[in-house]
Amino acid sequence: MEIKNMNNLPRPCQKVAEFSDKQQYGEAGFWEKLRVQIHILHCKHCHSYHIKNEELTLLLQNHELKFLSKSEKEELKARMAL
Amino acid sequence: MSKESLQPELWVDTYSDYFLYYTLSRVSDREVAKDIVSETFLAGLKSKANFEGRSTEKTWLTSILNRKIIDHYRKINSNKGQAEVKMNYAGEDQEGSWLEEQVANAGSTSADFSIENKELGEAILACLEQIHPKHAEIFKMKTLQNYDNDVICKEMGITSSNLWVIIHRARKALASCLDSSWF
Repeated sequence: MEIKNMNNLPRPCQKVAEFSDKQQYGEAGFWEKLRVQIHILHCKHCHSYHIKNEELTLLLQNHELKFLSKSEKEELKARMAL
Repeated sequence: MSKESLQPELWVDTYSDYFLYYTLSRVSDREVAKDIVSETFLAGLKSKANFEGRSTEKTWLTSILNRKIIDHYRKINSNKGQAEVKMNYAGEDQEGSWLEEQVANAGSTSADFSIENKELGEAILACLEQIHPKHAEIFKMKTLQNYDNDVICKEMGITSSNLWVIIHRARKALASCLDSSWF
């Protein structure tokens, strides 16, 4: 499955959105972070996305959600099948 | 108005995370919460013939879950002795059932969960239910369960670049949903 674009964003914005997302997980490199910072100086859309992205990260970091693992879900399904 | 129908084969994937969170905010032990969720699904299966379709599947299952949580407190109450539990209940000027209030009021059952946290958690999970199930699953694995990219790609059968596209879509949808329901 190949997904070609991100909601029809212009190509530079697609890249910046990807770098901004990577940044939220500590996976963006120095040049990627720099590119985000330079781009959002003149692109309102990406600036707003980047700010929202950081707010979301903070929100999720401050809130510990606990989920069932895949194996726990399989276990539950197996119990229901009995 | 069309009547709701039950889809038990999707219950675990659709509701288990939300129910686990909901239960954890009322009983603080994860294993106990897991058992209660499991009992809820089994009780739902047993009594599915009683579902009349007048409420949503989620509402119906949540009412069973609430009953199971009450049963849990009832069991604790009868095991440990009612006097001990009721001494802590500020009940003289309060009316109503202690058990019902324990279930209804998360703040009184677990110090770990503030009311605001509980509401935020439920808002996040409700928003996750609205996005594509596969995207939600990938987002949870990446963001909340901290799986490595390689593991996610292998388990979900996607490429690394697709992973970031899916993460982008999920984050955007989640931010927009929380924008209307939380911020």
